[in-house]
Amino acid sequence: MQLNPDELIRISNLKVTFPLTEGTVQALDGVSLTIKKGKVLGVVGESGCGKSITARSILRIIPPPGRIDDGEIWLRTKIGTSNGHEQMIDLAKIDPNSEMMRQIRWGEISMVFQEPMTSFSAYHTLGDQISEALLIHRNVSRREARQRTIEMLERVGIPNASTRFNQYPHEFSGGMRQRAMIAMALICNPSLLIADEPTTALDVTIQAQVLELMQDLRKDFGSSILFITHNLGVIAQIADEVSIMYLGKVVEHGSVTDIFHDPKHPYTVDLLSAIPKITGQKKDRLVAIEGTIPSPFERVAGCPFHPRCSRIIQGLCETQVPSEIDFGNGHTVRCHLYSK
Amino acid sequence: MLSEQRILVEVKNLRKFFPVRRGTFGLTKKFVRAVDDVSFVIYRGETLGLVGESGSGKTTTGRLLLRGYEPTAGSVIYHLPDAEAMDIMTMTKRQLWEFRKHAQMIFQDPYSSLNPRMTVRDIIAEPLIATKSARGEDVSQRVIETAKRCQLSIEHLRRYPHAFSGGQRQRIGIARALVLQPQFIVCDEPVSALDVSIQAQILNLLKDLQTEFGLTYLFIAHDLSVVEHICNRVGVMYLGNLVEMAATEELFYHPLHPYTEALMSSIPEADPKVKMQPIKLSGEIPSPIDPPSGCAFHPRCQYAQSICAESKPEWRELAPGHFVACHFAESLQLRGFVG
Ligand SMILES: Nc1ncnc2c1ncn2[C@@H]1O[C@H](COP(=O)(O)OP(=O)(O)OP(=O)(O)O)[C@@H](O)[C@H]1O
Ligand SMILES: Nc1ncnc2c1ncn2[C@@H]1O[C@H](COP(=O)(O)OP(=O)(O)OP(=O)(O)O)[C@@H](O)[C@H]1O
Ligand code: SF4
Ligand code: SF4
Ligand SMILES: [Mg+2]
Ligand SMILES: [Mg+2]
Repeated sequence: MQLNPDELIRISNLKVTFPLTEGTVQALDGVSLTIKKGKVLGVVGESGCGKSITARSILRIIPPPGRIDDGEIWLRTKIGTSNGHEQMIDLAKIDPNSEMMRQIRWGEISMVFQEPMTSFSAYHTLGDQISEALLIHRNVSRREARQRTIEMLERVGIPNASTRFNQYPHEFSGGMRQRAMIAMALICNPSLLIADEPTTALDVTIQAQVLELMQDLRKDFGSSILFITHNLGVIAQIADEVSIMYLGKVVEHGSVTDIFHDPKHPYTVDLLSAIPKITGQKKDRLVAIEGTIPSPFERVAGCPFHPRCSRIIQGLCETQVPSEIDFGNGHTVRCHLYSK
Repeated sequence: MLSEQRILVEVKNLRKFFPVRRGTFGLTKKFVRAVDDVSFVIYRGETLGLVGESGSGKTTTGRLLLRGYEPTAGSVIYHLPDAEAMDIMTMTKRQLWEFRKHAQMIFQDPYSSLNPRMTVRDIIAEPLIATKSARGEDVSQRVIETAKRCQLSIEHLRRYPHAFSGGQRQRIGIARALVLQPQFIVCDEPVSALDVSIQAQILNLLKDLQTEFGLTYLFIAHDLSVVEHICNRVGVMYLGNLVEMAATEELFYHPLHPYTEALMSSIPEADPKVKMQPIKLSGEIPSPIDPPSGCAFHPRCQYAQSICAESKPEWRELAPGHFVACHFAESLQLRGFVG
């Protein structure tokens, strides 16, 4: 597999399942997406559609008993080559416990987790946990690691950083833990930052700061960002391209303007109309998508969105899986409305 | 606005300080002033929004209102219909137990707030059983009804929370809070983990329940478009203090506090062609351990004058129903939401 020169990561047809005693969960059902060098890819989709599992697959930290059944995750990296040249490796195939994967994790790709409380250990100070990454991957002295950690904590907006360095996670508010998590993810200047709902717990002024910080990271180091969020406002402001996911699949992909101004998939259209708009007027009900998301054990035949779709083509959508249609300029959609 | 404004909750001079543990050298005792003298009322049947900095004390305030924490000072008086006014800070154990049927909380963090060893059914049933509000078949019936309203299928009920995504877990938390059909719910970021289509369902659900049962909500959130949609009035917190409170439209379009102005300028528009122009708050974000003198916002306020570092602005009602704490609220010309 050859990545195009502007691509950093290409995931194709990724399938991940969780074999549980109650049944098997098909968390990812053939996810394909591409992250370009120095660009921000926004990923949006209903809860449970597989955004976090996609992110975790890249780092090979899928929680047990989850496993990759099929698919590829190609990464362009200098890690593992002696002459500083780049090579392409398929992260889906390598041993998650290998030295290579260990170096990639945090050294090359870092992640801001959705759940900041569970992503820090309760028994070590935040400062120690953040500087640990530097000590392992960047070969710096303990003193320097501490200094750089404190600077980064200040940069993400944590006051009294040198005091806070010595505190434990439970002593921080939700938003402050999230900022600390962002500091930890940025500390090694990664080539890919995966940000899973990084600003959901933050007030909008800090959110604006974090978005700017991420823009700086991309300007200063050419980093790419995989940005997962439910907040379509944030996506509109930060993303270059957007992938819309539904039930373990990418159902639409395009530039941020295509997605917001020319959405094709009925799910994308519905999402955009469900956003509450600030109008200063008395509010009616919001436009919600009717129907329920099927239980994770259930496999939906045909188009995954058909049980909730208002534009369903009877006799076709329930049985046939729509294939990908390309509108040009990288705007793709999986929906029978556009077949032929 | 509500035509007949009857007070449900009356919060007076509420304070909560957490002691800071400082390793083995901790000789001087310090405190996080999480909530530092806050007073407001919540009217029956309304949704009062609470927004502000992360770490400004919103969750702590919400918990104090349900006596999830012991306050350092202050009172929270409930005027429940058909009952005497009662300060929950002085309630007996027995009274508190009865009170919990009427007031519930939806938690911010759907990960740590659900017991991993209980099935979803048992999690939702727990408040019913704990308060002896239902037994036997009735429990199952009410659990199933509530779960359905929250978009959880019966299939989900026998699973454990670890196997759910963030948004799915949040719906479990909502179902648990709703199952007792309480009168007052503190909703701590109830929809921030949800995609907008489910968010819309939950917001519609909360509104429907409000109309149907006359519920009152304290609604804590960061997403200001959600707040604008659902709240009748909104309070803004900064570093343990309320800095402004007003009817929603008034607050969004005619803010009187510089921090509120900064918030309004930082709302990300869901349109890539409209780039946001946030007011940058310069200066270090202060710590609630050593809050700045005078107005706590002064190190970051672009309008600050020397008096701002010296004296704390009074919390006052500048126009009917519009409260603010800023020395210059009368003279500043602030920009509201432009969209
Ligand atoms: N540890 C686990 N064990 C079993 N199933 C899991 C586990 N983690 C996730 N799943 C399942 O995998 C699917 C995808 O989950 P994932 O966490 O990726 O969703 P998500 O898109 O990130 O949702 P959210 O927006 O709510 O965070 C879900 O159906 C979920 O139930
Ligand atoms: N149990 C605790 N022990 C010590 N300090 C605490 C505790 N809970 C909260 N704090 C501190 O109190 C302050 C207020 O926290 P709180 O959780 O109320 O903020 P918040 O406004 O809800 O923030 P967020 O928007 O991030 O959820 C913070 O500085 C926090 O670190
Ligand atoms: S394929 Fe059919 S069911 Fe699926 S989104 Fe398109 S119209 Fe709707
Ligand atoms: S009192 Fe002074 S510092 Fe505080 S908000 Fe008003 S102008 Fe700014
Ligand atoms: Mg997730
Ligand atoms: Mg909180």
